Amino acid sequence: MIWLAPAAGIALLVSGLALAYVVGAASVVAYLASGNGRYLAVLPQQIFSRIDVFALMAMPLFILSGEIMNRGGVTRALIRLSMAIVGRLPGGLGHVNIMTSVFFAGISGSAVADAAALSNTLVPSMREQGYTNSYASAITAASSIIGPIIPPSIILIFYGALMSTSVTALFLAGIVPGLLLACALFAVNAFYAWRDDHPRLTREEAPPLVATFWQTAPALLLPLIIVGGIVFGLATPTEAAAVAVFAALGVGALYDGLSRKDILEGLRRTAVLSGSIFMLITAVAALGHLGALERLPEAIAALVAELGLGPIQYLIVLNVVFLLAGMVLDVPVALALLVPLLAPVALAQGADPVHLGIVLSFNLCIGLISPPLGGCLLVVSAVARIDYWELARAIVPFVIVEIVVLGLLVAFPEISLALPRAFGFVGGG
Amino acid sequence: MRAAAFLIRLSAGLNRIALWGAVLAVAVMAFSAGYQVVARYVFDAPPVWTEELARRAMVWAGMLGASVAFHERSDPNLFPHMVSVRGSRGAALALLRAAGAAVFVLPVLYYSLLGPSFSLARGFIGRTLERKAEMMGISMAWFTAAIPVAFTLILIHLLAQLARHFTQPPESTPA
Amino acid sequence: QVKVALDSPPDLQGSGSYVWAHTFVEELKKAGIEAEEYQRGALGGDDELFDQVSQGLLEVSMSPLGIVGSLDNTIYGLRLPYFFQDMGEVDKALYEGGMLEKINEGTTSHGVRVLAVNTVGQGSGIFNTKKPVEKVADMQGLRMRALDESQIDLFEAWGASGTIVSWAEVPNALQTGVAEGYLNPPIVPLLFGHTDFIKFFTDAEITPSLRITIVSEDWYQGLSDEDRAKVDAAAEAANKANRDWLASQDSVYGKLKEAGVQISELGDDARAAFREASQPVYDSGLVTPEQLAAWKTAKGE
Ligand code: NA
Ligand code: NA
Repeated sequence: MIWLAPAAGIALLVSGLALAYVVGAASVVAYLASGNGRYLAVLPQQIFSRIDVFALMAMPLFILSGEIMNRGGVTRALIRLSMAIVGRLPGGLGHVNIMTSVFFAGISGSAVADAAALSNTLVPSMREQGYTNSYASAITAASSIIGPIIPPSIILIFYGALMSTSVTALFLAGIVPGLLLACALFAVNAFYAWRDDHPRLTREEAPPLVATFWQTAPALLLPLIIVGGIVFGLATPTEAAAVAVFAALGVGALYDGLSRKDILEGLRRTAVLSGSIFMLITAVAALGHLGALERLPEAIAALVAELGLGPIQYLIVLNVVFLLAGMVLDVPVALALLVPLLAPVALAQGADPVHLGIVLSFNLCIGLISPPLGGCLLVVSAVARIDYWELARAIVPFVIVEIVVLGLLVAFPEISLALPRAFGFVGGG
Repeated sequence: MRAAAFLIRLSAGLNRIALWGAVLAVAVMAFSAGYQVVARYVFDAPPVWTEELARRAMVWAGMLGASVAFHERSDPNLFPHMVSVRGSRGAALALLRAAGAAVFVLPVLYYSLLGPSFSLARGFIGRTLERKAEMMGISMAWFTAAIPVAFTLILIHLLAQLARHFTQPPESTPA
Repeated sequence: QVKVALDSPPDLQGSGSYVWAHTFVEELKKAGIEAEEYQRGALGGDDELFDQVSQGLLEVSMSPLGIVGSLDNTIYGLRLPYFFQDMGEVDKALYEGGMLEKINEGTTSHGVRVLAVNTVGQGSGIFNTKKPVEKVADMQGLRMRALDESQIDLFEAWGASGTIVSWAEVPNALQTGVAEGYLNPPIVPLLFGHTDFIKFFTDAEITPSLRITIVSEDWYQGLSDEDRAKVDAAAEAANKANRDWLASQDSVYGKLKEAGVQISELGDDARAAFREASQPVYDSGLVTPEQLAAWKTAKGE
């Protein structure tokens, strides 16, 4: 009877029902088919408890600050600064795209916010300069995931909450891997600029460096306020997300100014985006509860023991699982579903929770730009008006390079751990 | 036909109200979370209710936002183009989608209201009516009500989408 | 089949609440009742477990004390600072003085029965990241993580301040200075790995460190008389194992020292001063005057 659940799931998925409701319906069918129907009564309380979590609030708050940055001209200021720094190189706007994501990352905690912002602004400019739509969109999506690796980061906050690991340590650990990722993407863009003879900005098009720097300075203060506030103990990460909202409002007022309509639209988008994510979280939680009743976590731990996987092998298996999960699940969903299930075994085998958090989050971020679900791909294809599957093809080389970076992070934990250790956040040697 | 038109209007009207509620809730969340930081450094003793109010405002924001996302079909969807299929195949798909959503929505609504032996008092809302929020001293039901409210809205939108499918020309493809 | 939801790692040395749960499950099995432990978090967080118990979907849950307090605050008598001398007095008030029954009067109509109260370690003391606290005046200027409003009252009565931080954010808050300390039993920083940044402990023994066992009233009343007697006997055996375990917990102070935590003992005068300074909490509305009187009578005052 239990086969009814996946069968119903696939039929509903193909019918064009939104994913959250597909998962929700399949869970309900699975409860009934496994003779656990009376446990459906836990659903309302479970939905409430999964959302009523203080640490989760960083997510809507960072979505909101991203919205306000985009509407208040902060994003445009960051693009201008990037143009002044790297615009004159061959493939200039491609580099600008990556560098803007690095700046953006210091303020925003979300890849989707970055992807939405830059596909709105930079992709049209790149097209005008003669880049193909698919290349401009692919590099936008590929570099958007720098956002959640460099702090602040919704994904790392969520992991920290799930694993009771210091978010501050995770944030510090994300900085070097994020910059490494940016360097790898700069290299890919340079290669394409050489091969396809991509244009550079002319002297007139590139803004003057020094003047632009001073104009952008207030926007550059934002990451210092947010990350510094967390590292130096002025606010918890969730509170810092709230500070980011008001800081973005303040800086936005300095630039383009925010109309009441802009702010309302930002609030509206925040509610709707968060709502979609919450619905997914709750639907998956329903399925997770059934798994717990049927003792699935114990079965997985037993399976790992039975296969006799060592720490390295298990970490590699984890990577593959999370990579696949990131392709078909949304990030918070994959984290909520898999981290409590799979991470404890890795920790028991001696993995460092901070290193594990960076590796798993990086993994899921790659999932964000990998089909079929790839959240950032969906956003870029919608905003830049490019066919989803065409974009999916164009992004493949970027994904391969990012998997190589991931391999480096797995092989050399110090890339992640050196910085938190320097600040005294990682114990041991 | 009249009933369908009424349903579609009702769904649109309720969605506008939900949207304003969600916007308000996001604003409340951001302000109380921000106020918590300010209060800690300016008054040295932050009020006890900021954390809880912010968290509970997020619940309302998220649930109302989820209903709006359902109404405007902006939830993550792997095959969004299926929505614009018409004819008998489109009708079958629309019915299947509605049935699927209902399979998830109805148990949540049912158990929000009714508990063991069909008792209202022991349904989810009935149970939380008796419980007080930790810091604010008001009934938890003020916050837990977000769940049946949102799922009721979704149910209405679901019926309205069905009504629209069978009575109106195709909408433009969602972005 | 009886499902028992755990609230701590399955550690018979470190966790008093697990000692209770494990003994209970084993005793039930011996008596021929099928029972099974579910790992912490598997069936949901504290609120979800409480809710499942109240609906009869989960038979037994190890839960925090405050969760029952949201239905009826009689149980908050157990949180009054310097009210109980030791666990013996707690047991006396609950079992001989009839307070367990009184607590259940307020909760069983909601489907929840408090079957037992468990100790999870020595009385809670003051942990902080800043300085040794040897007298009330040393609390001046410390910003303590508070659980609820009554704890904030307590900190303010001591001359410190309180800030509400959810448990998930506590490590961050302590590392970054958003909070500088908390009240907890001595075992907690060891269990949760906070000793990297918690540097000072004051053995102030403010309140007993307790968790509770709640069971579904529907399930409990639906048992045959014979089975209910078996359940009660298992609970009694679990209580005993739990109290015996407490006696074995003195090594925790050594472990704290080993982890680099400096321990301050309070002299009689300093302790009396803490007790004196804690009085305002009695009038803060944590419990009503009638409930306070009932607790006093029950412990034999
Ligand atoms: Na970018
Ligand atoms: Na970031």
